[in-house]
Amino acid sequence: MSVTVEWFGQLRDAAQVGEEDLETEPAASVADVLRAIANARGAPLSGLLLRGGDIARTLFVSLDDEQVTDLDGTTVADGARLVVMTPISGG
Amino acid sequence: MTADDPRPLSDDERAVYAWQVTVPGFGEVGQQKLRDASVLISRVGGLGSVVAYELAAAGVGRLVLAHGGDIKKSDLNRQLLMTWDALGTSRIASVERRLRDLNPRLDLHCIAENVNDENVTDLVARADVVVDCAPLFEERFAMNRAAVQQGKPVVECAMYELQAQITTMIPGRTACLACLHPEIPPAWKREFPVFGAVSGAVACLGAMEAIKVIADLGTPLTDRLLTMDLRDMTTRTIRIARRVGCEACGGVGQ
Ligand SMILES: [Zn+2]
Repeated sequence: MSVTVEWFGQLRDAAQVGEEDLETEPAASVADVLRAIANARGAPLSGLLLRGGDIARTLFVSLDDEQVTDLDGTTVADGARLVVMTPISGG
Repeated sequence: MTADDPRPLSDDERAVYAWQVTVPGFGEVGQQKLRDASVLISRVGGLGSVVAYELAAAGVGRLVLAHGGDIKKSDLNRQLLMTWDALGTSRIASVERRLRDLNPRLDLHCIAENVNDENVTDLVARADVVVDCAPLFEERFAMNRAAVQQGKPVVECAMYELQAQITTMIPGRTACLACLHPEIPPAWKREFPVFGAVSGAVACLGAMEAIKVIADLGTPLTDRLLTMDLRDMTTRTIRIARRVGCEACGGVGQ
């Protein structure tokens, strides 16, 4: 099955693309998807997605336009759209 | 007229705000609310300059403005209250001068330093609404904590490259900044790529949110994060929620 991941903020720079489609295992969690991307792509993307092997707590993630706070306990369905953001600011 | 009745608009106020008091749901009562309101804008840079200018133009009575440092050339692509001829002089002095040129009726509280742990309680206490336009998460989290403690609504604006986001937070009811981002992001830097037209665009939305909250107009952007990518002009509205156990707002109003 396939999900679309949209990158926001510094993640967009690191991914070098605004969004991408990814093949995932059935019943994958949001955390599984992000971990798989981090492992497949490596730095610099993995440096923003992971912290000490875990998904970085600073990330803001939405699934089909709904904020996800439990990344491990939320599964993605075929055709789902994840938006993943590193925090941004004013200035 | 009772003691609680707001002072009627002056002839000057009626003339200046003629184009907005006719907005349905706003009227002279809404204008009186703006005049009697106080807004804290944390940093008056790319975002805050435009928020402050719009709120000064709209007739918000008091602006509490905090911004340290002197004007640098690299401010001038977006910090629209700074000018070339004032390079090297105080940013907040330039802000004060430009705002007074537009609206001499303003009650301005200009503080020549950024929000910090020492001044944040006092600065937030002077405001009815806070607009967060600061670049560093340390000062944003300090202001978030103070706003939650004092029950002050916060308009959160942010931008990066051609992207921007905004949400309006009501303590005890909606997510706070720490609900969205529970930790300071280690990779964030004070200097980042952005166009002034991007910060200005989200700043105008932020000013409108402050006006709506003060004047009880329309529906504020609560429980929703509006994101924009001006590279391809896509927008997205994401439902956001309070985070269980949030260090800043956990237990408040629940
Ligand atoms: Zn919170």
